[in-house]
Amino acid sequence: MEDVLPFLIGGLYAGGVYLVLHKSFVKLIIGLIILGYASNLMLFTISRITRGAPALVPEGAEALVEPYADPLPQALVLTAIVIGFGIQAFAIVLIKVGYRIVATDNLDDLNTTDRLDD
Amino acid sequence: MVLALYPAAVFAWLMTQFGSVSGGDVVSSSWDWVPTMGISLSFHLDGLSMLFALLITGIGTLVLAYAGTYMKGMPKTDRFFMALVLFMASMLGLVLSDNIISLFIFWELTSFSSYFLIGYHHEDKESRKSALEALLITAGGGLGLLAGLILLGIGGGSMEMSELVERGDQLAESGLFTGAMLLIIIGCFTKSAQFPFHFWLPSAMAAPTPVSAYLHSATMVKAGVYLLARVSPVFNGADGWHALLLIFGGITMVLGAMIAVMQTDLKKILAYTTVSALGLLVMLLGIGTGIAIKAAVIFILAHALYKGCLFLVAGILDHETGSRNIRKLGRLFKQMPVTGTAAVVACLSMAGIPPLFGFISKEYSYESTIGMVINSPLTTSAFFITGMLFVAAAGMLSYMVFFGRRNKLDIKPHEAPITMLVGPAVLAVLSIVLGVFSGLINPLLDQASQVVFPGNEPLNLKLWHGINTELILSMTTLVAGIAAFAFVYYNPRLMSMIEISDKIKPSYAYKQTMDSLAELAKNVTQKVQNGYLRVYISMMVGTFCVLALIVLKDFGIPNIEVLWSDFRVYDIVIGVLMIVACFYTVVAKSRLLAIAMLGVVGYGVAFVFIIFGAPDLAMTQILIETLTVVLFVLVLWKLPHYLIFDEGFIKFRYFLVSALFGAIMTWIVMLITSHPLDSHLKTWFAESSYPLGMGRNVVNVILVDFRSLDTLGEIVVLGIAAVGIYGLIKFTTEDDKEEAI
Repeated sequence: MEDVLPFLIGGLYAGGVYLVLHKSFVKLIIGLIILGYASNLMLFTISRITRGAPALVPEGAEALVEPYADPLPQALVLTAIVIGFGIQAFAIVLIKVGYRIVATDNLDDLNTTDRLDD
Repeated sequence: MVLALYPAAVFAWLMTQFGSVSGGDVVSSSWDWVPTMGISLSFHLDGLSMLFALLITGIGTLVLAYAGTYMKGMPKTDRFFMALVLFMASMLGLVLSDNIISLFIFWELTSFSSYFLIGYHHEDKESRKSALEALLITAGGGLGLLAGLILLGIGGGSMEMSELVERGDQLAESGLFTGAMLLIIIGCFTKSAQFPFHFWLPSAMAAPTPVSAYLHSATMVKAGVYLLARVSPVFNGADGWHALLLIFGGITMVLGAMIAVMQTDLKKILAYTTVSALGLLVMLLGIGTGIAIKAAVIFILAHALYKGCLFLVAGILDHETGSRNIRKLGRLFKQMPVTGTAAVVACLSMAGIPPLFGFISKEYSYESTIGMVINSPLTTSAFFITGMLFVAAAGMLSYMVFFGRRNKLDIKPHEAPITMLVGPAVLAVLSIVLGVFSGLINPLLDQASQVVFPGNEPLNLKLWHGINTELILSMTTLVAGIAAFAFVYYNPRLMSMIEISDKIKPSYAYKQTMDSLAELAKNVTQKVQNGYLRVYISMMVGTFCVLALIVLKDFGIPNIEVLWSDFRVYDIVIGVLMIVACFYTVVAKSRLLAIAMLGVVGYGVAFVFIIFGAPDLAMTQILIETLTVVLFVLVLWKLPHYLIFDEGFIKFRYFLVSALFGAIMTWIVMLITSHPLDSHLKTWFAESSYPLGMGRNVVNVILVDFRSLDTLGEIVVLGIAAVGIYGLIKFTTEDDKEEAI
């Protein structure tokens, strides 16, 4: 699995970026979510992974016994997942409200504030 | 009014140094600023600096006192006075600086503060345009000057002006001589409004009159002349120096005077005669002989005295009558005797009539043009024309306004308050006193000319030189000037018929350049900032890829050693499942399918966490994945059809960018994991978690104990997101409410 993970991460990144490059607002959000997965996995992977050894101190012991998974990146990724969810939820509701007001899901119809008038 | 005490105090201090400086001493002091780069705040008070510093503080005092009354009742005076005092300080710093870098900084500060002063009436479009014009031209030239000064510093091996002036030979050997000279000349020409940059000065008349009197006649515009004079010992005698200054100074001088007599606005007449006077100064520096330098130094003082006075008079007229048009004004002497007298005296000085100081200045200028070895007839006749036009302009400013025809004013003018009269009166009196008792100022001017032209013969100012060529020329000029004035006076219609096509003016070229720059900026913005999110993102991703490839090309592609014994079937199943699910998310034709596949990817991620010993992560991931999918389905069922856009070839391009990005990320992850990692944090947490945090789940202990503030922040973020979502859902526009009813 360790050898497969880089390719999995690369595949997720490629898929995420490709979705973000679409015109559809919904695809943009889905793309962002996939990019989030890829980044979490990447952070998890590059800080080395240990198979089947959670960072739990056994009963009766004072410290972790090797081998054990590095707990710090796990804590970081956990924070990232939760914050990511906050953003996703907000973005999903934003699509909904945005659609109700401007009646389109097409990003190209939403760029008037970003363009110079000729 | 109280502010005027400040420059007055500086003036008084300078006067205490008058004796020693005019005796040839130099007062200097220095503080280190950036010693490693040779930048220090070193000040140096010699004859030339003294002359300018006295003008700056002296006229500054008068102008501040005057402006106190002039600006009364106008808005934003606090801002105005702040900019004016800032300017005063910068200008003083400029003429006193010995270090060329601090000199440049003060130079830029004067441009900067004058921008605010010219743009005082910032509600007015013209005013803003003029301010910008002045700023762009002077600051643009300032860039050239900076480069020139740095070249000068490198070539001369010093950052101090007082050392550089003695190192002309060293500079010539370094090969930077010509470059430094040309760049400094450009900087000075823009600042001192030389042809073809002269047009910003008349436009700058949009400023309140005290500003015009101070910046645009006596001080700022002379900064270029000051610097040319300052570096003159280095460059005097070089090829090109004489020719450039002489030609451009001469053109500016004649052109300015010619345009001046065609104007009808008092301030425009003054502005163009100032342009002309600056041209004369540059020309005199260009002649570069001992006598010419003397003439230049004298004229700096003479011009500051009479032009400052005339500007202040123009301000009074504007203030009391509401008009600056010389065709409307007339016969005002009876109502405004003091103003009138000051104006007449200043105009007589401008015309060069004895016994005023302007007469002495004119004699010396004639002496220097006549004394030229080559081109003497041409230069002398150019000066003759200018002198003649100056006489005519002086007539327009005094006779037409205070005598001449009856005025066409709607209101009855009366004399200005005493605070406004002090300035012009003092300046006018000085013009007379210095003319008659020229010995008073002789030592200072002598020192100044020694600084500009080391080893110059001692100056000996006299009103009466006997009957010589200069005097005859001077008198002829006067007669011709009076004739020219009479022509202008009796043929107003003819004068107003003269029209100069816009296309041959340098200001037209400036306008064209600015317009095309704006057009270019607009085009670039339209290309770069085109409003398409995907273009921005692909740009960013593409840039990242290129930069990453530049770094990564030095690393090899790591070997992939697949140990089949390590492999478990479910690893491969999960990996393949996730890739396939991701693929279907991308290509899905229905929104529901895409969301379902997204869920599969998310659960796959959770599974990876489980395999590699992160049960907490897996739990969170599964919870959140479920919530996301539910939320998606709940919220999005009412949306329109899933948009499938046919983007043809472009789609392929985006595919390439994404695939490249994915490949690079794979490469990076492989590279990082192929190097050993030494994390002492890992062991620290492993050992401290139970003794310090009393918890067996180390991840949890980190979150709620060691890094609990982070977790608090996280909760706050979630809270804000929740409030935001609530707000969005409750948000209804007026239209929605009407529909609901």
